Amino acid sequence: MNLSGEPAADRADYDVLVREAAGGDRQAMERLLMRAQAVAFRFSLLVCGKSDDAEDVMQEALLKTYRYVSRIKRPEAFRAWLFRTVRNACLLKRRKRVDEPAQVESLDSGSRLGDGGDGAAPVDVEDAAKRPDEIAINAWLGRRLRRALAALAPVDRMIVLLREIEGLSTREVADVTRMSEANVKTRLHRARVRLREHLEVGEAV
Amino acid sequence: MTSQARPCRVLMERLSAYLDGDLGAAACAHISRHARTCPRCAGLIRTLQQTVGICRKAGQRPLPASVRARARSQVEKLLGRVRD
Repeated sequence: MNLSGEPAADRADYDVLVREAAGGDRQAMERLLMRAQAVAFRFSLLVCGKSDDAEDVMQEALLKTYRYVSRIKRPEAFRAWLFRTVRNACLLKRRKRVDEPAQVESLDSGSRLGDGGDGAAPVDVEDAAKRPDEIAINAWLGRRLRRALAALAPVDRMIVLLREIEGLSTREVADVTRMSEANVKTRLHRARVRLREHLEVGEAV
Repeated sequence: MTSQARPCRVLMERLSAYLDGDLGAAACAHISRHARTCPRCAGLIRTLQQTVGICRKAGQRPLPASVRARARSQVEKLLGRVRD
């Protein structure tokens, strides 16, 4: 199994893998399932800001991908399906936090995490930074980028993740987020400008 | 400096489209020409490109080893169960 990466991949790469997996290629299925979990991990962590949720969302992505591939008709639609599935799993996970009402936050919310205006929980980049998993995550992503993303509104984080980190096209992002392409473009531009400010590129890079 | 600030603001709104190759040739040429004489816009283009680059690099990194190991274990469990 190639575990050297499972980084974000383009649609053509997914198409080949999905066709091979659907045709019974076990290695392709393994890679696809690893990739689905990687997508789920990045989404949970970067958009929802809760590394604790990631395992459940990864499990959901794993099972649903396995079932979906066995009856897939259009391999080219897989990538958008995967991101929609992961997005829905994250939403559901957050809605199920009935015992933690202060933590509930809509992914569609325009507010920023921790801005205090809507009862949303702040991303726990600082508080959790000493846990082993968090240390690994900060080393992987870079604490500065993680904090810069945390400063964006949830919906903008989702757009940045899908477009910049996962490499989806604007049309695919619009499909996953159920927004117009024009809206995606406008929000992406604003998010880039904000990220640039938080990352202080040009000064520290 | 209002006359200077205005075109820059208009330009700024189109910079992402410029970076993504969504503008026509004439609009691209206009922005490139402007950037050659406006250090502020040239700097903005450069730093936005760096910002996008930082995000794209993050997408290319393998996940933390502990997360990868857990994911692999789940895959093996699922496929093992299916095979049995």
